[in-house]
Amino acid sequence: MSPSSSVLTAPRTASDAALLRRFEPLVRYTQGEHCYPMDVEPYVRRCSLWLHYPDGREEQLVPAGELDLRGLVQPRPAPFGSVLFLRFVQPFGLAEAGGFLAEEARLARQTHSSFRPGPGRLSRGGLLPRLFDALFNATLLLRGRVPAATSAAAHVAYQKILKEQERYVYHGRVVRERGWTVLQYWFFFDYNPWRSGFHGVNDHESDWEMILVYLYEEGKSLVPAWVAFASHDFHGDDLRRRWDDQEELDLVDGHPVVYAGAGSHASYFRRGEYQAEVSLPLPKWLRGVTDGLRRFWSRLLGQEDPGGTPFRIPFVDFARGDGLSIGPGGDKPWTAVVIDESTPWVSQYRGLWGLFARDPLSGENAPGGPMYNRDGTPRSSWFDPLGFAGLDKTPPPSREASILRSRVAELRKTQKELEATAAEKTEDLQHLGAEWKGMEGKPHLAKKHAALGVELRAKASDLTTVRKDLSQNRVVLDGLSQRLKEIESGAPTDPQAHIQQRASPVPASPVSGAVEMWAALSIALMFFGVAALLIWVPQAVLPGIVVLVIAFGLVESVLRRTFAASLGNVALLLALVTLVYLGIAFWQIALAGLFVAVGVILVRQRLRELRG
Amino acid sequence: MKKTARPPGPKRPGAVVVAGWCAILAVPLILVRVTLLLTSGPLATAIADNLTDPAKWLSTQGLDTLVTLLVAPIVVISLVSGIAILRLKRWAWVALMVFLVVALVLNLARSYIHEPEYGLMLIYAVLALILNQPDVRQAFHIGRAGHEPVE
Repeated sequence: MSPSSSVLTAPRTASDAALLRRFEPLVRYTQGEHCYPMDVEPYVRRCSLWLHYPDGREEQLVPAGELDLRGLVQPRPAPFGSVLFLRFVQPFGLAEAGGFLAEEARLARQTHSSFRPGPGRLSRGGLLPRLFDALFNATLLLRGRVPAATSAAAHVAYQKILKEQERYVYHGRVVRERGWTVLQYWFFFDYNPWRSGFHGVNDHESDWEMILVYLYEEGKSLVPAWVAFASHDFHGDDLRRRWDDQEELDLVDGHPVVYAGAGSHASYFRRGEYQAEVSLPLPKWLRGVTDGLRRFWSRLLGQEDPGGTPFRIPFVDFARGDGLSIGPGGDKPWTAVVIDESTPWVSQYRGLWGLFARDPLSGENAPGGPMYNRDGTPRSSWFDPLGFAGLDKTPPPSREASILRSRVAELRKTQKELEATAAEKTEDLQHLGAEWKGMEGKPHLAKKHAALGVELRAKASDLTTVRKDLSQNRVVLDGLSQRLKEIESGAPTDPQAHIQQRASPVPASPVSGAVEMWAALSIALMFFGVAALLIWVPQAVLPGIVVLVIAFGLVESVLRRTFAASLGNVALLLALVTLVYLGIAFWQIALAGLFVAVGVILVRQRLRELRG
Repeated sequence: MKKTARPPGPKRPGAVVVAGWCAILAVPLILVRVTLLLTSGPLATAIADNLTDPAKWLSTQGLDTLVTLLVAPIVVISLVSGIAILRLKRWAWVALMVFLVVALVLNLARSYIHEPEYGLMLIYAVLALILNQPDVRQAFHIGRAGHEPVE
């Protein structure tokens, strides 16, 4: 990669704040979003501080209104297994909840900011994922969850903060490491309303998102090379995009553009709607069974592989970029707050930044801070910003050529040494071979001939090893020399060569109103059907459910115009069940039939063999 | 006027011939069976007794009554589908598959109340298997639609 002359750079001597300003992103939010990046200070001032003990007790350490950033980092001894957490929305009663909801509705009307999901996530999945979705929602009743109306209360509180001082803040950090200058932009939100506001997976108090810009030194300038967005679904190389990758990265006046997911605030490189899938945590044996059945279905029955596991719930993350935009050229400007390890609230507060909802899956619990995970362990994105995006193995472009040149020189030297060794060993081996050959047919030299034979074989093996090393060294040398030539000639390279997996927006598929209606109601109708079976045909609930599922599946396929194929699949499944049933009822005949079939195949093979 | 030769149609897989003839040959068997059913008791009573009481829907008599009521369309479907299957008509594949789904469900329901018809079950299951072989599906242009949902 070589920096294009059009790439805007920054002077090497620029201060951290100036560097952060120079490359700060333009973040485009989705219409309907109501949580934006804010300063931690006014948030903490409205929070209370709590301690959750291992026995389930919760103690309020500092009440709301009495906490500030200094108070947050006071040392507080706590027993092992306890969780320190903030609480932005204070406990409220039913009347207050109603008030919050009414106030939120008024705010939405006032700002004309409403969210329209369009073809919903439910109609993007089949019957089974919708069933799992219904069960997933049911688990929220059992798991810990952020109480209802908390989202509205957080929204109202955030609006008050915004009214006092309208600021959109990122917390920026600059790290200089191994030839790279890394700019970290941390975005703090008071609330993550993905579930309550945008049909997503979870809600939690507070949210931290982060993006990185990687610069390298060239002369007296710092040149942008890569951008990485933190993500739950991708790791290492897949997180980053090259600065000149116009297909994958939008730039506005030299500032990277981020498309933020509605409610989730997840960062995406491209505008669109992303289908996120939550795989259900299955036991290993069940995963094995489903994989086996899938292989049986596709390989033995020759049917199309359905792909993936059916035990997943599709969610849509809406990153449309049609709402408020913050950053250079956007609707609102950023306020930068520079942080580092010496910032007390960054390094000394290891608790959660919002409500600890006691969710064992952690989805509804608030996150830790920029430096720590929920459990207080350090975040890799903080202590290893290069390794986080797979850049620890990549030298800055300005250093790559010199590294390669020195390595090529080393390899050339090794090559010469190996060539000399190989020539020497070949000469030696030929002398020994001639001597060994000369001893043949002379019985009195039998002992010496045998000993020489052993020596000959050992030296031949030695020479083979040297030649193998020589060959391998040559291949590596050729590869590195070619790469060096490419760099020196400034030939363009594939900016996406490092990407294995990426999130791509799901194209909007035309879905009829009937399909959407069916997707929304079908699971509830199925549950009503099961209830009817339990009341009116209690002696045949199980077969009744089977018939119900088949009927619903076929209705679904009619609506989606896949009736014929789905009907075939249902018939095939029923045939397999029938055959299993018959196999169990007549296991002796089935076994005998199996032996007869194997016997017939064997006879056929042997007869063919005999006939030549 | 010289007659032009008809272009050769798509190749008919062997499984299609088997399925087609099975459907055609099933007609006399169904008719014999229904005749036996009708002569074994008054149909009107069976309807009155069995169809008005949901508890009896899954009894042997209930199912037999249902089969009897469905017999006319079944016979027609079976005969016409058999011929059309041999001529590789898509709708015939769909009709036969509907029949097989209903037949397999009813027979599995029968087996649930411990009075199964093993022979028929085997025939239906084998038919469903061979009619869903990839080459057979291809011959009838049965495939997955482009916007097939994740299931």
